[in-house]
Amino acid sequence: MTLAPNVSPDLLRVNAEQVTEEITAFIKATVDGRMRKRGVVLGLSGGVDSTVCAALCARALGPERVLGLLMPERESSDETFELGRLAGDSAGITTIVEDITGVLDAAGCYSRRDEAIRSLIPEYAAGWRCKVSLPSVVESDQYRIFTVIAQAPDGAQRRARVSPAAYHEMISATNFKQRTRKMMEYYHADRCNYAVIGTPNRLEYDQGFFVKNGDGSADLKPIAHLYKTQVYQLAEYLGVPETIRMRPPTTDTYSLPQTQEEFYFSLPYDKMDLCLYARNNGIDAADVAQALGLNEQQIERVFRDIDSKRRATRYLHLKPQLVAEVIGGGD
Amino acid sequence: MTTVEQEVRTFLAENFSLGKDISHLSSSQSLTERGFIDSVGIVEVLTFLETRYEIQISDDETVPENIDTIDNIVRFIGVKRGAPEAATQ
Repeated sequence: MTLAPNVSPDLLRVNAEQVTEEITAFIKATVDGRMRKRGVVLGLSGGVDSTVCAALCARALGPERVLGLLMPERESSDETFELGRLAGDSAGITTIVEDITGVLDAAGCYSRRDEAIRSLIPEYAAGWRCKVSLPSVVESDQYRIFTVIAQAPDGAQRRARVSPAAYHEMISATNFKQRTRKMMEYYHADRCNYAVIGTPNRLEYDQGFFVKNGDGSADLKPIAHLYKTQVYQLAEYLGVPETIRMRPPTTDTYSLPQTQEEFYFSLPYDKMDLCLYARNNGIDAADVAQALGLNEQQIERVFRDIDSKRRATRYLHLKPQLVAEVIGGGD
Repeated sequence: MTTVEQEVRTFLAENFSLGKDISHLSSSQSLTERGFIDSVGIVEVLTFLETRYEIQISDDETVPENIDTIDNIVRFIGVKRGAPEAATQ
């Protein structure tokens, strides 16, 4: 079924001023009215999503009621830290630095992950760097099976297919990073009587690109309904610094640089946005293919990947399941 | 039913049935499209096939036409072991 034969990025164009007003009204009503909190706290990654959220919260509540956290660890990039600081400064909010390396060390985040990598690449040792990577959906019909890439101090790289046991160990160990950051956000939220802001965009929220009880946890998620390209439109309208708007989205979870499409999504965000929009609105793969300069088969594979991720991550969105409704359990 | 098919069915039942009765799973039915196996599960299948049949499966062979159905797996194993007739018995 073709609903929009003229598929183009214009389908995702929004009135940034109007959307900003809607979201700031939502933040104010939720924080002041429904939650009765004194302000909000959010982690600043130096990416466009958290920077836009900081700017929206500052507009909604006043910058003095917004606290930004910079939470570096020994493997996060210096650029993340500097851009996070810039994000806070541009929104005019107070920022606090919480280095989470010690917590991660104590929890065994690095050692557990490294042990899993060594089960695949025995040479992997101190001084090496690593990341995990998926094959491109666009380039082949290959299943999206993770490969671990480890780089020795001399730059030589080793690659290995990730076994199920190593995959689960690596992911659960690195998830300490997102969960520790969220724990720190709730510490400051409790201390200040603030609410916690979650900063996923629609792509991340829909496709389950978050850690349960990590970055997936929050009291309100003001931009979860916006496609990533729409977040960029808001960023421009809100005056987010160009260096932040120009930075390619990154996971900044592993010690080697890694893009989001290398780790999770099938395509760069702007193309992924249009595919997700098309999937949500019943637009034919052929029409999307023409708009993106890809072929129909490639778009069909992206559509299958979207559906597959929705199935695989559905449980992440579920509330804790109860046998029966409980009075006082909230809505 | 070939020995390979029987062994693959047993492996799937023991590792992925999750309460489902897979005896009615058609040999031509996709293992991935209905969420029966995800991408991590595919690696478990690959590991099983490599170990049980003493073969090496390269990354570019990890495509649906080789792995997505029981029929495809049987045919693929036959080819890898140099006995494609195994898939048609």
